Amino acid sequence: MIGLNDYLILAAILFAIGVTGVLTRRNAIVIFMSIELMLNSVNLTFVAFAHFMNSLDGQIFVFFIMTVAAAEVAVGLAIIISIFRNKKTVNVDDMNIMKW
Amino acid sequence: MQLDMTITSYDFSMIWPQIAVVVFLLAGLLVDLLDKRGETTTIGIFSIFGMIVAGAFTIGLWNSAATVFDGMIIVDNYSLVFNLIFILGFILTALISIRSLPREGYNYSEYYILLMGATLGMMIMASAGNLLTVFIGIETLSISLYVLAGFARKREESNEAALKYLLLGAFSTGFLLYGIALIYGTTGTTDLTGIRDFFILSQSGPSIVLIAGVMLLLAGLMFKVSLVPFHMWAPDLYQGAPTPVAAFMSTGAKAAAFAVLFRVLVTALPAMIEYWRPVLYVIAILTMTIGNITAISQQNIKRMLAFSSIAHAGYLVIAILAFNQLGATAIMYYLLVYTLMNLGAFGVLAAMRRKNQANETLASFAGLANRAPFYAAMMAVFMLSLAGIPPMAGFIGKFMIFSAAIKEYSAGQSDMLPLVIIAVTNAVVSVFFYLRVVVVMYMNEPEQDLDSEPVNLAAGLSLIISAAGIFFLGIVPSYALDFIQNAILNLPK
Repeated sequence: MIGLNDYLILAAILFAIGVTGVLTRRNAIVIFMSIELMLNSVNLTFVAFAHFMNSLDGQIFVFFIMTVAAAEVAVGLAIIISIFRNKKTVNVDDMNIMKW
Repeated sequence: MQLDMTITSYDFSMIWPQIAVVVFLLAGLLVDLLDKRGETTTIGIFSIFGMIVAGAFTIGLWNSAATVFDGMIIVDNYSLVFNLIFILGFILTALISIRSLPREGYNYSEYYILLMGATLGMMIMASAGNLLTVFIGIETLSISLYVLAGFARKREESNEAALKYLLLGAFSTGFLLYGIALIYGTTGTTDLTGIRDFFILSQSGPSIVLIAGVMLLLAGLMFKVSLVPFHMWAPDLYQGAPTPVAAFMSTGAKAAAFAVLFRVLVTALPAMIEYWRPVLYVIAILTMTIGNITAISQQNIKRMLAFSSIAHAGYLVIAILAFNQLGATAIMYYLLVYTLMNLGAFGVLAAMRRKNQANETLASFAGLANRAPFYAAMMAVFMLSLAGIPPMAGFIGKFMIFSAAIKEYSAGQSDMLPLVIIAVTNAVVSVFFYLRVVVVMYMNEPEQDLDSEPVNLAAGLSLIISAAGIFFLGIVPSYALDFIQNAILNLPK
C-alpha cells in the first residue's frame, strides 16, 4: 500500500533534483526544464495531500499551477529565443554584461 | 468531496476596479488597431483613461468591507488604498512612457496592455484572501513583467535582464508553491483566515513541516520584495530593463509584494510570530546595510536607485517588525511616498535617455542644472526626498517607521532599539550618495558640451505630479494619514 508519505518523499526528491538542476546546469533551457520539474513536484504534493485529506482545494490549485506554468514557458521560451537571436548562445554564464 | 460555492452578482460588484482594468485591457487590444504600427500615443492615453475609471470604481467601494468569492477576494480599505497606489504608479509610468518609448525605438502598443496586466495582478495581490489568489496575483504581475523587462528586444542588456528575472522569478515561484503545498497539507486549507483559525484551534505548536512551509512561503514573498539575500536579480533587472519599466517595477510591484506579505503575516500567520520575527529581524538589518553600502560605490544612477530601492525595502520591514498600528500606517504611507519619489527619479532618467546614449551614469549628469534646469530641479527634489530630508515626504515616512519601532521598544521589545540605531545610521549613510547626484548636477562642469534638453509635456506632467505630491505629503501629511488610518489591517494584539 502506497501511503501519503511515499508520495511526499517522492515529491521532495523531485523538488531537490529540480533545485540542483537550476543551480548546476548552465543552459537556459535546461534550467527552465528543472524549474518545471520543481513545479510538477509541487503538483504531486498537492494532489497527494488532496487525495488523502479528501479535499478538492489541492486538486484545483494544481490546475492553476499548470496553467501558470504553461504561460511562463511560453514567455520564457520567447525570451530565450530573442536572446539567441542577439547573442547566438543560451548559456547563462555568457549573460554577464551587467555586474557589480 | 464536492465543491460548495455560490457566486452572486454581489461578488462581482465588489471587484469593479479589477473588472474595469480587464475591460480596458481587452478594449485596448482593439483601440490599438486605430493607430498605425509604431505609434502608441492613442493607446497610451486610452490606458490612462482606463486606469482613472478603475480608480473611480475603487473610490466608490470605499468603506465596503467584504469577503467575496468564497473568501478568495477580500475587499477592504487596505486593498483599496493599495489599488490607488498602483493606479497612481501606472498613470505616472504611462506618462513617462509616451515620449520615452518612441525615443528608445521600441514603440509597440503591447507595452501598455502588459502594463495594465501587471497592474491587474497587483490589484489581485492586494485583495487576496487565499493563498491561491496570492499565487495568481503574483504570477499575473510577474509574467507581464518578464515580457516588459525584455521589451527592448534588440538591446542585449534588456534581454539579459529579462532572462535573469525570468529564471530567478520562476525559481522563487517554485519555493513559494512548495511552501503553500506544505501549509495546505498541514492545515488543510489555503484560506488565510482558515490558516489563522487552524492555529487558534490546534492544541500543540506548529509541526516541523508547517514551519518549513511557512519559511518557504516567506522566502518566495521576500524574493518578490527583493530583500537580501533574495535581492540579486533587482540591480541587473532595473539596469537592463527599459527605464519606465524599471520605474514601474521598483514601485508598484514592490508595493504589491509588501501588501501581500503584510496581509499574509497579519491575517494568516500572527500565531507564528515567534518563528518569522527573528528571520525578518536579521533580514531587515542585512537589507538596509547591504543595499546602502553597495549603492555608494555605483557610478550608474539607475543601478544606484536599484540598490537604494533594496535599502528602502529594508526600512519597510522594520515597520512590519514593529507590528503595531503606527507601523501599519507607516507601511502604506511610505509606499505611497516611495512610489512618487522613485517614479520621479526614474522618470528623469527616462527623459534623459537617447536612442544611442544611455545618459545614466553619474558623469553624464554633470552640469545638468545649466543644460536642463527643470529636470535637474526635479531630480534634486526626488533625491532629497529619498534621502529623507525635511520638508520632503520621505522624511515623514522614515520618521513614522522609526517611531513605530521606538513605540514597541518603550512597550518592552528591547531588540527594537539596535534595529532603529542601525536604520538611522543607514539613513545617514544614504544621504551621501543621494546628495552626490545633486552636487554633480549643480557643481560639476560637463565633460562634453551636450545640447540643452527641451522639456517634454507628458513626462514633465508626471514629474510635476510626483514632486507636488512629495511636498504635499511632506508638509501636510495629516490629510493622507487620516485617509490611511481608516485602512490599516486589524492587528491581532
